Amino acid sequence: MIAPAANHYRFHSSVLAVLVHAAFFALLIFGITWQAKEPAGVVVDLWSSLPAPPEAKPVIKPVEPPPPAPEPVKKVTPKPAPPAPVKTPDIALKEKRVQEEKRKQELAHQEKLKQEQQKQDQLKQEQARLAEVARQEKARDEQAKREQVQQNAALQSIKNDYTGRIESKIRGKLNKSLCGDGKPQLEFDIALLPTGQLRGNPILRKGSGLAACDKAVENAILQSEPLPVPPQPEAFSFFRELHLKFKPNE
Amino acid sequence: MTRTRLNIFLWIMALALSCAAFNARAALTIEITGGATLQIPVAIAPFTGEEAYPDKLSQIVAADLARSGLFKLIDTAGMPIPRGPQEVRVADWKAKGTVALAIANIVAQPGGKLDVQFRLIDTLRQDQVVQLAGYSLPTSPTQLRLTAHQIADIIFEKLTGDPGAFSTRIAYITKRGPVFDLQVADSDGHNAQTVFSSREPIISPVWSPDGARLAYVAFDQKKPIVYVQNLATGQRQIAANLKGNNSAPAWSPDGRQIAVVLTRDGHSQIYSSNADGTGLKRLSNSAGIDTEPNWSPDGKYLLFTSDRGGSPQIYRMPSYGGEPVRLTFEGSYNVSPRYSPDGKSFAFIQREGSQFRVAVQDIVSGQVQVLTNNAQDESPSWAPNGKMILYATTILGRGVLSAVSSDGRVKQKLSTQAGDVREPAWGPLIKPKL
Repeated sequence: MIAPAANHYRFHSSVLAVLVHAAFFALLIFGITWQAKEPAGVVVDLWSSLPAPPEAKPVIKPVEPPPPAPEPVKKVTPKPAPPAPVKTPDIALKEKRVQEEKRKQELAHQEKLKQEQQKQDQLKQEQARLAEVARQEKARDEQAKREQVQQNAALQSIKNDYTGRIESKIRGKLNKSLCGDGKPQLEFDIALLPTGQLRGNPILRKGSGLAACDKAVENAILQSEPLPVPPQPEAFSFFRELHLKFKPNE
Repeated sequence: MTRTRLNIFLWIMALALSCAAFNARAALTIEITGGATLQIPVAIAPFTGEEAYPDKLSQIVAADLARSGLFKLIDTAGMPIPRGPQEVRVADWKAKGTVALAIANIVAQPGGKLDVQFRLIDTLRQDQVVQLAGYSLPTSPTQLRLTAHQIADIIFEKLTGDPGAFSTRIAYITKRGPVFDLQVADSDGHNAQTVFSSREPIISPVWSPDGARLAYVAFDQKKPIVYVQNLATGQRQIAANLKGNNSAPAWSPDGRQIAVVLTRDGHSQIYSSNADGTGLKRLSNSAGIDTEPNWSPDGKYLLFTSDRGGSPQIYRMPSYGGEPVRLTFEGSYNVSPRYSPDGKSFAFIQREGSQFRVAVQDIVSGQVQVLTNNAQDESPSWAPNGKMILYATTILGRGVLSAVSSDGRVKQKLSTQAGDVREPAWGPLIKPKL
């Protein structure tokens, strides 16, 4: 039977235990600090809603059992135990690796979230860009339509103007006294140059039955040369070929 | 792959069709209603060789056309005179505003004959010289005026569509001192020839439809007798010499009958007979005076003057007789009706106040147009183409012949007559042998 230790040994062992624990914590703290690197800057996107968490299976790794609590002092040999630098570093490295692993997982997860966020952002930006392009295209189409309508109206006005001028000029040369007492109707086709000169002779499509009347109308066309035509090429295209209908006695 | 190719093909086809549609834009239709009443601008170039003869053919042609009122003569001064179609500078003549140019060469032929080579050129078509008419007219120095009138007729017909009447003749009565002459002249009053003379009055000359004979009333037997005279032979025969007065002869359109006014039954009434005087038949039967009969061109009706209503007015009745219809209602004095050649209207003398003027009334509408503004017009007579009316009027107490276009726009005096000229009658249209 071992005789209980004297009281002054108990005091010493307690102090030793405290010191050993202090050393352990110091080693733990400073060891980690030495290993810790300054974290790189992280770009954080603010999400209105987080994407659904990935359905990845949680990584299950064997977790080291926590270190056993220190033996009660009374079980330690009365001699002061040699310092425990042998056991203490193993535990610290294992925890460090665990922490590192966790941190890597966390970083990988964050990186994945970040990539997901970027993809979502890019998708939204692309959608917005396409919408803007469509809007601009629609605006251009509407503007083009408005301009076309205005251009058509202007062309129609020019067309009406020169139609009236041609009508008036030929009518003034038409000697209707050669067309008898009835109501003759005649039709001629003519082709015009941009100068208003005739391209070829008038072609009689429908005669009056009166040779003198047909000739009088043909002469009226020929005497009206050059006919008034619009200088604008687009407007002149209406007047390149004309079908003239005559009702001299109406 | 096949579907893609088909789509590409369809797109290309659609594009091609749209391009074709653009290029084949339908001709713009312009409707021109109405026109103007214009004179036809025409140029008569001096005829080559005409300077050798007293009658300048080109001037006679130009005067004929101007007298009709339908033509505007373009001045040819300063223009090169072409001797043939190949020398015509069409653009120059078009620039002068003319639609046609007449050119001619007078070529001497063996035996003193002449050949007038006449061309009418369209001056509006610039791409080529288009000949509207071309004739070679044989003639002689004494017939040059007639040839000129024939050329005027050709131009008139080519440019108006109606036959010209310049080569026709007119008959009229002149009084020089105590002598009355029945004369025949060209339509412009030139070349007058006396066919019958008398110291007694001669009235109411009228042409047979064939232009070979004249009927007239002569008093050389101290009473009015209707004669028919052959112009070629000068032979004349009595067509109506009945009891009382025989007057106002009128040929039927077929030349077989003559309507005359006789007083054999007491007062002036209208009768018809064959041209030789046989087959007399009374047509009118009134208590008033019926006179001045005139046949419609279709021979169905007779116009005449009657005072049966209290004042001289114009009536119409069937040519075989029957109930007359009064046609004139404006004014208290309307006489001397003459059917127009188309039968749609008639010319007559209407009194307005103390003025006697030539007027025309439309048969259907009854619309009247007064054509002259003289004081003493009488005896209207239509040109056979209906474009002019010849009449006699009094200027400074002397009778002269005048002509007015049927629309009243152009009035001219015929210039050649000497003495007192009355009762003109325009001869029928005789187609020359060209």
